[in-house]
Amino acid sequence: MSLINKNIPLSFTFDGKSYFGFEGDTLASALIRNKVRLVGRSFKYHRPRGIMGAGSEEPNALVEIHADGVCEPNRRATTIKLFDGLSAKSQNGSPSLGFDVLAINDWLSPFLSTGFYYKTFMWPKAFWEKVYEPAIRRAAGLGKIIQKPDPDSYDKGFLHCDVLVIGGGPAGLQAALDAGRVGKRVILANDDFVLGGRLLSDPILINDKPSIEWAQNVEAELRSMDNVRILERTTVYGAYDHGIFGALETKTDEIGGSGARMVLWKIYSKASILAAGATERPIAFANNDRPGIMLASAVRTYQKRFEVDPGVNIALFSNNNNALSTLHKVLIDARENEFVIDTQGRKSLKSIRLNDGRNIKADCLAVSGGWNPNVHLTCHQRSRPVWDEKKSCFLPNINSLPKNMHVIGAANGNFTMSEVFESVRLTGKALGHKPADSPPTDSETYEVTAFWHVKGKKRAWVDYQNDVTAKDITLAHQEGFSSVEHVKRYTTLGMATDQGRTSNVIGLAILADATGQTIPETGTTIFRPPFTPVPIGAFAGPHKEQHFKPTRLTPSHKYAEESGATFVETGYWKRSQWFAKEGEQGWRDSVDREVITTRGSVGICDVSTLGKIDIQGKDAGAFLNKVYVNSFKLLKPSKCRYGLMLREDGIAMDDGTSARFSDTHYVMTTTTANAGTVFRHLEFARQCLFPEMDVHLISTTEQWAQYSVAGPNARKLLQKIVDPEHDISNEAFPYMACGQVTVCGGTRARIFRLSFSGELAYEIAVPTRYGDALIRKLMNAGEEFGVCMYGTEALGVMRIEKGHAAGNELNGQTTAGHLGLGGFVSKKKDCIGKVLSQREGLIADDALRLVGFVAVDPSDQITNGAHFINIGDDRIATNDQGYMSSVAYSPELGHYVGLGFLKSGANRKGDELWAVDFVRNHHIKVRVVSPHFVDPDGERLRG
Amino acid sequence: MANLTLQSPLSGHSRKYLGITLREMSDFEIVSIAVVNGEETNFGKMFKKAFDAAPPSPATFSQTKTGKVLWTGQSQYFLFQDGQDDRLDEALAKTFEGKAYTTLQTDGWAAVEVAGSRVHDLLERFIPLDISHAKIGFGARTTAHHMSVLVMKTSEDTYELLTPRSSSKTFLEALEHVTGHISRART
Amino acid sequence: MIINHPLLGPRDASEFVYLGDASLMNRPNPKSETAAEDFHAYMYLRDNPPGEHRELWFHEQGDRSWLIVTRNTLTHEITKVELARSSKGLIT
Repeated sequence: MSLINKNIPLSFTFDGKSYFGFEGDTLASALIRNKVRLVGRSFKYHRPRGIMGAGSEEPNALVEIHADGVCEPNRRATTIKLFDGLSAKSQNGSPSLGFDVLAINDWLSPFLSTGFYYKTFMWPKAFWEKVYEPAIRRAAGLGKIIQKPDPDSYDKGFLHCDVLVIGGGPAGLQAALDAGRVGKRVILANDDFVLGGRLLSDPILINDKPSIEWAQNVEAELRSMDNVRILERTTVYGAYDHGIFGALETKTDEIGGSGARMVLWKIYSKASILAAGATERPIAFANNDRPGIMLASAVRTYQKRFEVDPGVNIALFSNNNNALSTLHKVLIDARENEFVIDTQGRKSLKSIRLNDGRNIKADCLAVSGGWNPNVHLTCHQRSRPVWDEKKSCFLPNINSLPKNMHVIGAANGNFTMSEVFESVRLTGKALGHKPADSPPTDSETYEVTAFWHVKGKKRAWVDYQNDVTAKDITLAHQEGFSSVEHVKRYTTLGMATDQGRTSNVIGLAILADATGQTIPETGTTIFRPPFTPVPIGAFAGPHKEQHFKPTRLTPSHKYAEESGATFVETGYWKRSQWFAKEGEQGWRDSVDREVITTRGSVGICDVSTLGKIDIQGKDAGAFLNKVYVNSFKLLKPSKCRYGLMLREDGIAMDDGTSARFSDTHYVMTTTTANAGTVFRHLEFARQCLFPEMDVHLISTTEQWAQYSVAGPNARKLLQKIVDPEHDISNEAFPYMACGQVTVCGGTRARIFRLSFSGELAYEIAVPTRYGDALIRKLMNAGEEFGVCMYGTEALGVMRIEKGHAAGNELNGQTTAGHLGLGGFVSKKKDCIGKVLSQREGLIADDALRLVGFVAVDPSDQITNGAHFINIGDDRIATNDQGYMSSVAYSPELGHYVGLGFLKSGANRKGDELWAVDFVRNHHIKVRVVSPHFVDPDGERLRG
Repeated sequence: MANLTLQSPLSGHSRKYLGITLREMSDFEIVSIAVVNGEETNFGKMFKKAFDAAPPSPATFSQTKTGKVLWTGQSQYFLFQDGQDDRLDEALAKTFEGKAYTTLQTDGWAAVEVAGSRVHDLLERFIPLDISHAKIGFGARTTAHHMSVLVMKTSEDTYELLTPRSSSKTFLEALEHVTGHISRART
Repeated sequence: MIINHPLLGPRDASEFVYLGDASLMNRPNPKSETAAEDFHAYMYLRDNPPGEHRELWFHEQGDRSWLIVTRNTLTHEITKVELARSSKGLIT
């Protein structure tokens, strides 16, 4: 029946010293077993601190776990399951826990009261940034952050159930059992590594036997049921909409293991039963934070569950009858007007002084100020708990619980065992679980007299972790920070990693006393997830470094890698940016060469990433007429056409080409970046705006590997690939033709005569399974022409040289008119965006217009993002005439060229302007020219 | 000139773990079928004739003699057929005599079969849907690790997962990564 | 959040993309004399109620259907989910 296995000793170190504990210990119980009293130094005053609690509510015993050169800071010693080889260190004591120079803060406390940094360290002004702030920063904080990668793995997962039972104490165990027995899918989540909750610390009988036996029997039955899943060491940290819960499962505290250290679960439940128990609260009195002063229930837990004594001379200070079962030598009963007014023993409690004048020798003082139900999850959706005067605690607000949540046991203010089982029975009935009769158990009562604070001159701690005292709270009120939310921020009460588990209620009671309001009038602050800290690594799960986001590879990726491509990330895609050849010094060498080779002979580029949408239906043409500004309904089969798409507000959204294969079959292309957006937009138009049309869409972006073959030798190259029965001569296959063909002896393919580069060009597509084979065949066939692969940079240079708009120009602010495509918009038909594109502001006379720019001095470099200012005007933002949107060095022309938007640009050809780069702080003179720099008459296209 | 050689997205990957096997499936075609507006009844008749069953209902797939048919949307289906035929969409367009539009989709997807006694330990850390309790014949699309996935339950401990081809290496790495956390590799 | 798809059952909201107010279904008549005003109201004027709201969601990672979801913007409770297309009376 023992939960401590003395046959399995475990060795560990704390602050460099070696100790032994047992299987079943936490680090805290093992430290107590080894009589280690001092475990940390407090946040602000660096006061010596000891273990205060036995669970996740622990505010003092925060330690670092060390392994493999890394450290996990701010772990509660009470929730670390002891393992062999654990290396733990205390925090916040420098140079050591025993001798901490910053303990001087304790003597300086009159100057360090709440909000001190708002009132001091103000002069001289310059000292704040250079002296005071760094010093405060060094002194503050608890654990250390090691700047090394986290060696651990974390997983994320999804679980589904009918009933989620949160908490494995007597209430949760019985509720899970009832639900499991009627066949419901049950998940029982318990934050500890042993089930039993309160039963692990209190001398309770169930069925006339020790309650631990009952708990173990229930556990055995639960484990025998296929429909019940027990999650151990799992804290349900958040209650979200629609029955969704977040839970953090700790698999091990050992760092650097091979499996996942933690799993973050998203739990979808139809109903939930909150059996999260309650947290004991202490009482505030002078010097109530010494090592050896503990929560009464923690003392009982260490004695019963862990079989260690936290002290020899145990005194008990309590305002209720529940604490009386704690073994003690002296009782100080607040209900009988007995109080502790001071304590002695800086590094370890030695004695306590009572209000009747007695000094009592004590090495352990068990304190109980009553119980706070763990209502947090009931309040994660903006509910506020309700004050119960008789039980002197907050209870869940049953009128605003999350949907389908039921609260039982101590979490519901049921502090006696019979009430616990009764609450389980009632909830079970409501949920149809046919609950069994409650087992016979101890008859208890719960009697408490509200008592929060022994007033006095010396500091009495309320929030142990953030070092907030009763004085701080009354000071906050004096200074005008009287609302509970202001007190929280001004004093930092409840803001530490324990989120005020042992301090919030005492704090607001003290505040209520100071303001003269009642506790319900004072209210609580808002409860937010997570209930206990969740490492960022757990939220990230496996998605870090190269797995932060998926990588999409193009059909020619392997070939590109072999060819030495440098890759660029475009969204999730990895695209070839350029292909450096031996001897080339930098990217310009490669890109210039790729442009020269393509325009001089032939180049090949993988354009598979552009969105491809297969559009079929009797009304496909009419549908395209609605989404494009220009007409597609009458496009002949085996032809392509450039299309511009607007948003409904008239702004250009995307452009591309659509090809028609038959009366009812089109294939639309989009830009790479907008493939998903356009598809969503088209489906919206199809389903919501024009549902009467017979038109059907599906993405084929990944279905086809597509390569652009461009340059004067493009046709000659392709004639070696396309099977001879398909005539791709200029006459048979003119500019903007498309066709379904075969290549390489019968492989299915499509060919489109399209040109983004302005050269004689085609795009050839095969089902992606042949993509790798095709690129190799193309490059092989092109060897005699000196073919090269070209990447996105060369692609960009060539389209800029031709004045083709791309993402930089379709930037969410420009219309067809701005792009110089106003005439492209059909006057004969409506399309999405047409009406609002005619708004005054968008068609003003001096509206921006896309034009070309060259530097007046051809040796000048044009920079992108520069703004245009008239010569003679001050070079400031108010004189802005427009901006440069795309820039490239043209190898053919031997100088830089730019595209940009200029007010009344169409009427200003030949004008000279300043191009002012406000970021790099320089300016040059530019001249307005046609945006078509290379082959302006487009002769190469049609050759 | 010889025909172009083809490549499967995951190069025939296959790996065994204790209780879990991961295996690429690639010898099949996928064609997307969209029913012409108003022709659902006629289509249903042709479908029955061709496949001896009614079209599947939402979130299910039906087995056919040569493969499967999966419901993918209102009046939309994915047809799976064993074997290689990269013109299957053209053949099916003829089968449905103008009552449905067809589009080849095979090359857009990679397929991995995950199977074994511990397959659910893997899938609960991968697929958000409640698939351990789903019936055999369950088939649906969702996300996994930021990628699209089609899940089809072909037996109590066997699932086919399809994912877009371009990110399939990431998908497989993610599967292997999670499997490695819960089981030991044997191959 | 969970959206109860009329054909597929409950699905996590992460499978969906939100567009906005369901009034976007009612595209004005572009030929009307008041088209400019109508389209302006259609795109920009919203009631933005603290309470029940009909809104459009796209099941991008599911069946690609557009749904009209009736959701309470204060409590997040979803009381109705309809296929957008069938709301126009074309599909049962």
